Amino acid sequence: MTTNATANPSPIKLATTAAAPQKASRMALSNVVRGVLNEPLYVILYGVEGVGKSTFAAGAPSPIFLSTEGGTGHLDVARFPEVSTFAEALDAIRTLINEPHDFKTLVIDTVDHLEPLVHAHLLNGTKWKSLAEYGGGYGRGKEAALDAWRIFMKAVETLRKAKGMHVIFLGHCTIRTFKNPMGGDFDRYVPKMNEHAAGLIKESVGYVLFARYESFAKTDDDKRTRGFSDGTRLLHTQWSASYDAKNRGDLPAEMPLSWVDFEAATKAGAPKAEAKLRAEIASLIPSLPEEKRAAVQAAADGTTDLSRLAQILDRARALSAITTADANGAA
Amino acid sequence: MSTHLPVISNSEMKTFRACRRLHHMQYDMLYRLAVEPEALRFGSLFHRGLEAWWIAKRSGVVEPLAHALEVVRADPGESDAFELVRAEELLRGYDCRWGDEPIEVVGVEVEFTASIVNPATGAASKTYRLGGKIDALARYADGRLVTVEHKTASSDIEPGSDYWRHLRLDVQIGTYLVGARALGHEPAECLYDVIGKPATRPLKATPEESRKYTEAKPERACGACRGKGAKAGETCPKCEGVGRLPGEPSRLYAGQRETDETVEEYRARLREHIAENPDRYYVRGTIVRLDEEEADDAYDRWATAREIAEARRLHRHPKNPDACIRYGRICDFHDVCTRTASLDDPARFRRAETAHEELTVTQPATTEAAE
Repeated sequence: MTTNATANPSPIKLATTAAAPQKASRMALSNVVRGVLNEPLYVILYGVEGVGKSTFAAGAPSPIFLSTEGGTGHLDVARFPEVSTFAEALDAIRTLINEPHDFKTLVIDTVDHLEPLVHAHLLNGTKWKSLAEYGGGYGRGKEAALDAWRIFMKAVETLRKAKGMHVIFLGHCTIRTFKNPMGGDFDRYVPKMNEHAAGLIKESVGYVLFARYESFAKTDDDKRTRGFSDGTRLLHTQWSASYDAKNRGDLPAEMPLSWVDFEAATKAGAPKAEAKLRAEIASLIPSLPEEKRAAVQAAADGTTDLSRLAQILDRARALSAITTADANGAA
Repeated sequence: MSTHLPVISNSEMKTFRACRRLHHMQYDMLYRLAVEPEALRFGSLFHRGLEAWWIAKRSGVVEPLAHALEVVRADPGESDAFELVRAEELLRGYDCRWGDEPIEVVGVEVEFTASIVNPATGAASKTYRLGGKIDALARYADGRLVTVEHKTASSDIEPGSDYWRHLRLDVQIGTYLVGARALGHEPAECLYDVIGKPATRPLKATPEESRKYTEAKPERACGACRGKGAKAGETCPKCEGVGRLPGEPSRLYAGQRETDETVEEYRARLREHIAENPDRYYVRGTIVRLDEEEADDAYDRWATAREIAEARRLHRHPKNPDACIRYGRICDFHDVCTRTASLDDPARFRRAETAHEELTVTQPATTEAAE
């Protein structure tokens, strides 16, 4: 039924009329701020073994590592003693909340190694021997584990608010089959942990990043397809059928796996300025193998896409490093 | 925050979300049941005992259990002796389970009022304020302060069950965190303290017409040793060398009874069951609210308060027949809605003095109540 609003005015006031200004309203002009807010970054980075996740995080400002696994010994960073229980992990975060310090980034390395500690924490002191049995079974263990993860995430949120620290979760990846309702099923990279726990982290953070080596497939004369990689490490920031990723900024879909580039991109909402990228590529060209120089220059000249330029720069860096190492070896 | 504003509580909002007609009868017209329903009676009795236990803990009383038992025995309300025993034994088990937990009780039955804030503008409501009573505030050994919420439940409360899953969305937890902050505290989380209600009931005598008895057995020769008293040169273990087995009188079948269970028999059986199954009766869990969830809760509170104001202004209180059965029982006001009972029947309903009898905060009467 429709009514004529003029002839039969509804007694319902659809919108409030302009109210008198609130005395202590947050919406005062004095509270207006301009520009990009420098909120602490909240990131999960997952990727294949050895791709450089910890090295990426080590590039963040004044990091402290909360390690659940070894493998960061080569990095010159501050670190808590390796945590062996879930309670220790929470204690470490609460220490950062409550005590004065100069750390600016917390790195949790890695969330998938923290997961067994969460499970052990649940089972500790109970009659149950495994998560499958926990609470009488029927998936209750996973639900209880999710509640423990929520407690962990709350502690991390409190730290971010209290100290304004960046937080980076690192994790390994695994391949899971995606049941595609629109066609054939396919495999994709996902964080190597319980789906709900991973979902909680992914929903909480601002950036879900996937790291991998750039790889190519080539069919040789025997019609055999071989994969190869030149060692370039890439960071993916947007969802794809092949992996989970997201960003709340306006980041390019791909960029070099480097904290400096990532942070700069988050600040700019875009990768480095085009001229800067081109200048850096140009500065590297003399150090590249002679047969590659023209190809790199042509690739750079042939695109205006900033993320593509960032990729070319990353490859140029890798090639330059290899050439320099070879030259040093020969010497 | 203006203290003259009417209070709306979490219970009121919960009622409003379930059924606007019920909300109207309870919070505008201020009708309550004249007699507390049996299903809620035990919860109230136990809660009184629990409150006394926590108050005693806070005061440093050496035996808080004795204090709690004294309180429930002094005022059992309409509860019978068996219900009282159930409350007593549940309190005894609670004391065994949690009595030694290293937490400092900061406050018990802590009342609060807080602004209902529009999350979009940060402005406080000029129509209502939020009110409630937090079961307890406690501090862990590491200094963290938590709100404590006690609940009795008949459903499965084991960790990881749907009971706990549902609490991730429970509005009351977020509301009480806001309340604690309004009192100047900074609670880190909520300690959810759930007590399973015993399903064990007093055993009744089997009706005479249903009783079945075993057949009486006369004295007879031992079958194991064929009445010889010895087997393979050794004393027969069954008849112990006598060679005969004594007769057996007729007995009532197992599981049947000739008399009702006494209060003390019931107490002993219940105590044993609780001692053997503590996880079924006492579970505590930590419930947190992530930042985005708190913002979402604030939005829900604001929206519900707006809807309550709108319903009152327009005098629109539609029924929600989908909510007539909740918690496994029919709504207390169902007969009123189906016109088979009257709100004016003093045997069934009474008029409350305020919308929130459990709160002491000033509660201006609503328009209709004043009429």
